[in-house]
Amino acid sequence: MPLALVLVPLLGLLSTRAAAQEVKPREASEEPRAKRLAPRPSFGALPRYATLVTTRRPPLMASQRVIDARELSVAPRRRSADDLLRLVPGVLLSQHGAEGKGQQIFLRGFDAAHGSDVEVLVAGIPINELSNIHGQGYLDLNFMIPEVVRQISVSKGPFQINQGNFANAGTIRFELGVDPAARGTRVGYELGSTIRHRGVVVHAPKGLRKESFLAFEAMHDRGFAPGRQAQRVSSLDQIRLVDSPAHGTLDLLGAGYYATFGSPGALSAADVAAGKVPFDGVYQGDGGGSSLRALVSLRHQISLGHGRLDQRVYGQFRRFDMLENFTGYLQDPVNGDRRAQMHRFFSAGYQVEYARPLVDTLTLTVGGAWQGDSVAQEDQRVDAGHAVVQENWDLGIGQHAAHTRAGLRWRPTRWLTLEGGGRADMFAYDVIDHLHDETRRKKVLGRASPRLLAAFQVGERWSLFSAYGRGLRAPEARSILAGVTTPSDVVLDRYKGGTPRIFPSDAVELGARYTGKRWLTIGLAAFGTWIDRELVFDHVSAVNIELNRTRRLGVELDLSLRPRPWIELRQDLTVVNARFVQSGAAIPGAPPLLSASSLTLVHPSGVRAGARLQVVGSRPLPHGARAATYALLDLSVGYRRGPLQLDLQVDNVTNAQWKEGEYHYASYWDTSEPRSTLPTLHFIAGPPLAVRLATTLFLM
Amino acid sequence: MSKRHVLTTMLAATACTPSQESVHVQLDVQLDAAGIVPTTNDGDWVVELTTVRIAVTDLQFTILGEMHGASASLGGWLISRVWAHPGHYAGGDVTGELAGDFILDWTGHDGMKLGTADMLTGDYNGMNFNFRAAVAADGLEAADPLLGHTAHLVGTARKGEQELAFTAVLDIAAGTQLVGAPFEDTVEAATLDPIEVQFLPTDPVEAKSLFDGLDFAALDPDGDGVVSIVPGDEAHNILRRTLQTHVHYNATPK
Repeated sequence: MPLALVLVPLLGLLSTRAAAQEVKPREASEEPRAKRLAPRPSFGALPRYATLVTTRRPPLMASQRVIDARELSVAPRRRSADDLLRLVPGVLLSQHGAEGKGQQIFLRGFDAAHGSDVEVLVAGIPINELSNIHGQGYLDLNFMIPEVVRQISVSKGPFQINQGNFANAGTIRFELGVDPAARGTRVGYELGSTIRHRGVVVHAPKGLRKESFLAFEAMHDRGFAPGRQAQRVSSLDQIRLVDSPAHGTLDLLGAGYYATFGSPGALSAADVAAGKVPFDGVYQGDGGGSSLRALVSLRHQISLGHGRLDQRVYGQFRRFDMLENFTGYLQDPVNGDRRAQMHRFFSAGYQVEYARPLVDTLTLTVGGAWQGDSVAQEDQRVDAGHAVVQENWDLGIGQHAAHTRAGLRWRPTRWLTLEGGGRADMFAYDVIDHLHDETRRKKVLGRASPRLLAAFQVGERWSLFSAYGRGLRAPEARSILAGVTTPSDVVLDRYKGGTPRIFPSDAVELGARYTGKRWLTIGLAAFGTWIDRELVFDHVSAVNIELNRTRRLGVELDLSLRPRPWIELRQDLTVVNARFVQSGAAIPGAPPLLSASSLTLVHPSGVRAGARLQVVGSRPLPHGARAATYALLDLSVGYRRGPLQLDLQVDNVTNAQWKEGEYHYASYWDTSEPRSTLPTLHFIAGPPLAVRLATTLFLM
Repeated sequence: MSKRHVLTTMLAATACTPSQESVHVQLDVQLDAAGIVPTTNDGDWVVELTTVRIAVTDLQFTILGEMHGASASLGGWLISRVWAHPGHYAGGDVTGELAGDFILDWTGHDGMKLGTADMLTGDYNGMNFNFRAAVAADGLEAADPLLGHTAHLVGTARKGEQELAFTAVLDIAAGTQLVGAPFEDTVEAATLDPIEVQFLPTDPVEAKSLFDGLDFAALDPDGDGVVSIVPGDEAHNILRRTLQTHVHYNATPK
C-alpha cells in the first residue's frame, strides 16, 4: 500500500510531463548515431546499447573503469543489482546468507566484510551504513533494480578527493537512469529453476531525459537449497522536475524496498565429509532476516557563470533484522548460540560541490557533505523459540559524518594532467547504552586526507598514471563504549582494547593504458596499500583490537578486444600479495588471484549474449588454513524481435560443486560429541546450475 | 579457437584446488613442579607449599595472532576467545586444547602426563582453563579434603621465629575461567616437545605472592600453630582471588 501511494502519483506526474514536455534535441555527440539507428516503424527502437556515445572525462587512474548499460544488460548472473558488483574487476563477492542479505566483499587484498573498506554510492548517496549492528559499513544494494542501473563507475584506491569513509580499497558508484536507446515502457517476467518468479516494470517515457524513470520489481525465490529462500518488492523512481538554463536541473529520487531472506549458516567441512549434513544443507532452519528501506533524494545542478554547482539533500529510513547461528552450541550448550540483531535508523544528509575553472588550464573543485543518523540497535542471544536468553547490546546512537574537500585540476599541457587536494573528515558520536544504566559516551574524531593524481599522455595511444591517496575508516559507534562496557558473558582478564579512532590507509598506484585506434585496449596498474594499525572492533568481546602493520601489493591487468562494434572480449586479472609486515603472515580472506574472462555481444540483429568465467585463487584463512580454488562459468543469451525480448541466464554452467564462502572458526553442533574449541574449516555452498528464462515486452 | 581448446581451457579452469585445513600437532601436556618454591608475601611471611592440587577442566592454548604489540602490552595482551562471525576478523584465538577434567597435583604427581593436546601450528602466547569442583570420579578417597572443592593447598608459613602449618581448601565457582596464563611457544609441524604446566606461588613479573594479604598469625587465634582456611573465611576469599590470577600459572615447552 505505501508503495502504491508513492507510485501512483509519480506515475501520473511522469506521464503528464512526458506528454507535455517537448522532446529535447539530443546532445551533439548522440545525433549521428541516433539517425543511423532510426527506430523501426512498428514497435519502436531496439535498445542498441553498443552505439551510445557519451562524453566522459579522460581517466586519471589506470584502474578507473566504467561499466555501461550495454554490458550491464547482458551480464550473466544478474539476479539483483547486488550481483552487478561482480562485474567490477577485482571484486569478489561471497553470499553467506541468501539473496537480500548484504554480501561479503573482497577487493585489492581487503576482506571488506560487508562493506567496511569499499565505499558505495547509489545516485550519489552513500549506502555504507556507519555503525550497522551486523558489520561496519554494511551494504545492502538489493533495493536497486538492475534495469535502471545506467552505469557503474569504479575508482579503486582512495585517490580522489570525493572518495570518503570506507574507500580504502575503492569507491563504486551506481548511476541510475535509462539511456535514450532503451527508453520506453517494458514489462518483464522471469522464471527460474529454483522456483523463482520475478516481475519488473520500467516506465521511462522517450520524451524525457535519461534521469527519469519509474521502476517496480517483485521477486520470490525458493532458493536452491534450504535456507536460501528470498523475496522482495522494490520501487525505484526518479524524475527530473526542473530542466532549464535559468534554474538548472532538479531530480527527485524515491525508493521503497522490503525483503525477507533466509540464512543457511556455514557448515563444518568435517560434518559434511562425515555425511552428517548435506553439502548444501543447514543445521537449523530458522535463520534469516528482513530488510526495509525508504529513501528520498533531491538533487539540484546548475551552471553559475563558468562554474557548476551540484547539491543534493536526502533522507532515509532503514530497518534490518537478522537471526543467525554460525557456532551452534559452542557458547551456550543448552540454548544455542542464535544471535538476533535489529538495526533501525533515520538519516538525513546534504552534499554540495562547486567546480569552476580559475584559468583555462586550472579548475577548482570544492565541496562538502554532512549526514546525521539516529540509530537504534539491539543484539541478543536467543533460544530455539527465539526468546531472549541474553541481551548483548541495546544502544541508542546519534552520529554525524561530515567533510569538506578542495582540489585543483591543472592541465598545463595537452599531455599532462595533475589533480591534487585534500579532504577533512569529522565524525561525532553520542551513544547511550540502555543495558548499563543508560551509560552515555560522546566522541568527536577528525582526520585529514591528502590526494594526488598525475596522468601523462604519451603519444596518441599511451597514457601513464600515478596516484597517491590516504583513505580512512571511521570506527563504529559501539567501539566508543569499548573499555566502558563489556558484555557479561565475556571474560576479559586485563586487556581492554585500543582507543577508538579513524584509522588511515596510505595507497599508491602506478599504471599505464594503451587505447588502440579501433579494437584493443590494455591497462596495467600496480598498487600498494599500507595500514599502520588497523582498528577492528570485535563486537563479541567489545574490544577495539589493533592489528599489526599490513601491506597489500598487487597488479591489475585488463584487456579489451572489440573486433566488431557489437562484440567485446575482456580479460581482467588481479594478483595481490596481502601480508602483515612484521610476521609475513598472509592477511586472512584476501584472494591472491582473481581472473574474469568475459564476452559481451549485442548484435544489431537483436541477438545478445554474455559469458563470464571467473577463477578465484585459493584464499588464505586464519591459522594456516586455505580456501579452495574455484572457477565459475555463467552465461546469458537473449534475442529481441519486435516488442518481445527473451533472455536465458545460466549460472554455473558446469554445475561445479563450489564453496561460496569458506571460513575457519570453532563451532559445536553435535552435542552428543565432545565439545571442541579448535577452529576448523566451515563453508557455505555456492549455487549449483541454475537457469532463468525471462521475457520482456516493450510496450512503447 | 578450436572446440578442443575451449574444452581444455574450461576443464583446467574448473579443476578446483581443495580446501586445506590447518596443520595439527599432537603434544603431550604434563605437570612440572619446578615453579613451586618458597614465596614471601607482603606481610613478610615466607610460605612453603607441600601440597598444591587444583581441579580444572579443558585446557586451551591461544595465539595472539596479529594483534598489535603496543596495544597488547598495555595490559597483558589477554583477551577472551572470540566467537567471531565468519569473515569478521578476530584476534586471540584458541588454537590448541586438551579437553577433559583434571586434578593438577603438582606436588603429588610431578611430571604426570595429563593428556595429549591437539595443537594447530602457530606462535602461542597464552593458556586458559576452567576451574571446577573435584568429584569422586577424579579418583579421590571419600575423606580427601579436595573432594567437592576446587583447590587444596598445604604448607608452612614462617616469619622470623614463628612457623605455622596451614591448610587451605578453596571453592571457585565451576566454569570460572582463568584466561591468559603465559605460554610462549612456537609450535611447528615437527614440534615434539611436551608442554609443561607450572604453578608459580610468586608472580615472576611483579614478584607478588599468591599469599599477599594474608597475616597467618591472625589466622591462628588459638595459637596452636595450625591454620585452616576454609570457604566462608575472609582469608579464603583473599586466597581464592589470587589463585584465579593468571600470573600464578605458566606453560612452557619442555
